[in-house]
Amino acid sequence: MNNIKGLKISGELCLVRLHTESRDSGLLPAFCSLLAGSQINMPFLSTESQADGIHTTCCVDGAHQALIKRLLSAEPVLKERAEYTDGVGLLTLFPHQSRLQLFGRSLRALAQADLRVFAMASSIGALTYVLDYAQLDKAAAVMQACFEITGNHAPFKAEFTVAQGTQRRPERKE
Amino acid sequence: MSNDKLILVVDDDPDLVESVSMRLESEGFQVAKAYDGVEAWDRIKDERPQMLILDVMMPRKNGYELCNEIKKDDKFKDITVLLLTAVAEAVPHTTYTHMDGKSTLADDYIPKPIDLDNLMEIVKDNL
Repeated sequence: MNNIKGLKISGELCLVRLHTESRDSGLLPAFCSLLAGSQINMPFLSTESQADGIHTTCCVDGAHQALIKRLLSAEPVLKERAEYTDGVGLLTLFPHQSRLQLFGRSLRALAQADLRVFAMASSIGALTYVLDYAQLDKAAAVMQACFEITGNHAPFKAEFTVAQGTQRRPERKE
Repeated sequence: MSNDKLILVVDDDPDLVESVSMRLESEGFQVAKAYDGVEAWDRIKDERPQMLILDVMMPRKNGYELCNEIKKDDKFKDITVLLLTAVAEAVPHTTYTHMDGKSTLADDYIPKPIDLDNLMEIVKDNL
């Protein structure tokens, strides 16, 4: 089955990688609490346990990077384990419904188009890739060539964003 | 248990659509899915569901607009509309709140974040 119902591309985001050793299992919850306490949304989060520790990848609004760095400056253990990559974005295909074929075809298409994949994750309803933000439109075109997007679908770019709590604007990056 | 009632689940969040649909299907309901208000309107005309579970914030046509269009259309006004609305405390400064939702013609409201047990009670109460 090569049909999908739609795809979404995000705004510009910052990728934050956090590498902690297995014995530091409390650091990831501490990191998440810091972000939640400042009402910073994470539109993407994946974590994996490997032999050398726990690797966490999350994406936040690029405008939040300065705030995150400031929050982590008061947490030296977290600060030294965090790495940042600017200028990424999300490409989301849906529905996913555990279709391995969807994953395989989309990943192969991205590779054939020479599009770098920083991270990926699947959920109950969607399959999401973290890509170079500047390449998102190209990636969307690649997916349109790879899959038939059925029906009367919505625009790929979000018409609005949802943030936690108040309508306070994030600080701009320095 | 099988049920011939068709419920259309409409939300631009594919994970919410899937999780709600799976729960409804597990209770024996027939389920259709749409991911924005315009697509939902097409599905309503094609499939004439008995109930809509309808998000508010969606691209192209939001849930308030769609709900009011349905309720003002003689062919579709009998469709039960359950509006998914975030409680006011969670989104104090947006226009999409439970209080605003009450100004629509929806039959009932399901608070977000969704408790699936609560959702099922509201669905069964309204069918």
